[in-house]
Amino acid sequence: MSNILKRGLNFSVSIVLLLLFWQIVVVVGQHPEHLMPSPARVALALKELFTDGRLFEHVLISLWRFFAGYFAACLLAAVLGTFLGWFKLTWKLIEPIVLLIKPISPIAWLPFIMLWFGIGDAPAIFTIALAAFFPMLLATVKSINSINESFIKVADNFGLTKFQTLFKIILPASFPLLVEGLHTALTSAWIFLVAGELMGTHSGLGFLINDARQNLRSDLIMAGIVLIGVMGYILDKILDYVERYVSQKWGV
Amino acid sequence: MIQVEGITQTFDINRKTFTALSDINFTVNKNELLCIVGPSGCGKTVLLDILAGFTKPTTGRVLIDGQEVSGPCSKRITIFQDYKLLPWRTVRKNIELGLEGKGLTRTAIDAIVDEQIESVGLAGFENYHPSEISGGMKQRVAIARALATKPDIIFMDEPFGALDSATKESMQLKLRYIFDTGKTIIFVTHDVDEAVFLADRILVMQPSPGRIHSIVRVNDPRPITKYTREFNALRDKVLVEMASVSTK
Ligand SMILES: Nc1ncnc2c1ncn2[C@@H]1O[C@H](COP(=O)(O)OP(=O)(O)OP(=O)(O)O)[C@@H](O)[C@H]1O
Ligand SMILES: [Mg+2]
Repeated sequence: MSNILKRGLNFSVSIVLLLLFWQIVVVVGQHPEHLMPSPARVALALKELFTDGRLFEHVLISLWRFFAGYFAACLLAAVLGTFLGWFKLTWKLIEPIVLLIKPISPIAWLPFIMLWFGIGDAPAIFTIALAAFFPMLLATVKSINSINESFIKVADNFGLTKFQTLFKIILPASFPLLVEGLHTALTSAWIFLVAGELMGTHSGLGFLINDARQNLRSDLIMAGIVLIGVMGYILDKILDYVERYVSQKWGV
Repeated sequence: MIQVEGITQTFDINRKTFTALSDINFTVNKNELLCIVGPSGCGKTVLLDILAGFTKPTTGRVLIDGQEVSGPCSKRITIFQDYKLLPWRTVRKNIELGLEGKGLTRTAIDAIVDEQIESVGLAGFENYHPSEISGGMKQRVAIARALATKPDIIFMDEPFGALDSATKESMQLKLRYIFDTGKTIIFVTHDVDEAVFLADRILVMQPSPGRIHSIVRVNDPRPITKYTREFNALRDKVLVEMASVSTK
């Protein structure tokens, strides 16, 4: 209990420090309001978004797109990665291609994504999926490859078929690393949420920010940024918790 | 009966050929308990891996009841020093591993598992995970898991090496008891007392290259009592053999 209390205290102190720093920058810098809105202004903007219902609308639509893209990409990457990790020869052929495409930011693909998917949810979902896909794929292949040889020995000894070995030994053994992959993919995909919603949509946190920019509402821009940060933080914490739970349960 | 015929095992390390085992010949009778002792690196684990079918020897062959060994089989189970339990499965599910997907009914599997849990004294711990039980208990799970498939032969690679002496003692008794149910056991150990207590014969190996130094017969009537005059004499005999290995 005192542990939770301590962590809560830690967290509050960090937030207070951040707000303090922000306020100092605003006061000392004497920047025009539209370049650097004060914490109070942003709080008011958040309240405005909350009371007129836009906050939930944008957050919900963003979350929907995010999870659609993220889960689709992770599922595909996990299945494909299992296959590629299992058939090492195929992976040797595919790996250079993956390593070539992986470093390209989803933003670089945006023009094509817009052309291919038009407007609406699809381009945003695809951008998020693209950001999640490669980290998850690499994590899956790695986790399948790095399985302890002796577990395979045990499987062979007890007469498990190849198929049984995959489902009873290899996948469970690599589960903690798969969850780690899910975590990395989540972090990566969340970063590109805004990018995916910048164009072609009229909803979502990315749209909120872009729309506020066009209306010269810097307080709303910052409110959007705060929302993205807070939600990213919460999602990260949730996966942190899952990861810890899994590695504890798995005892590895 | 296990017949080991002219086994040689070499490994290519940095383009050099390293001979881990050279010209190994011996037989193990049905329902015999053979202990293998020898200094670290003399090839005990490599030999056990070949007997169990995990490794194909460079030359030579292993016959079990006249059949050449071509791979591992659930009639011959290896128990490893670090147990190799599946950490994500409970004790019960670990013991079940070799019984799943073999066409047994749920009730049949449960009956076998219950019997094994009872016999290794793990009742009450069925739903614990390996990370939640002691080393001695893990070892007993590994033994129960092996016995559940009703193997004829059990290979053990220093299975009690990591246990405290009291736990070790009770595991040795347990093993003798299991042995008396009609198993053939090949047991690698560093502990001479353990070898003398358990074995019908003790195979002493020597390194560089790994080969058989001598075979000591322990023809005392069983069960042998530790630290009696007969026991000490046998132990001294094995220690002399081992000393002559290390001074060579
Ligand atoms: N796969 C392998 N590739 C190359 N060398 C190997 C391999 N396996 C074993 N060796 C070598 O063979 C020799 C015998 O190894 P082994 O593990 O059988 O020794 P051991 O008698 O079991 O020793 P210990 O008592 O320490 O367990 C060692 O020198 C080891 O380095
Ligand atoms: Mg060894």
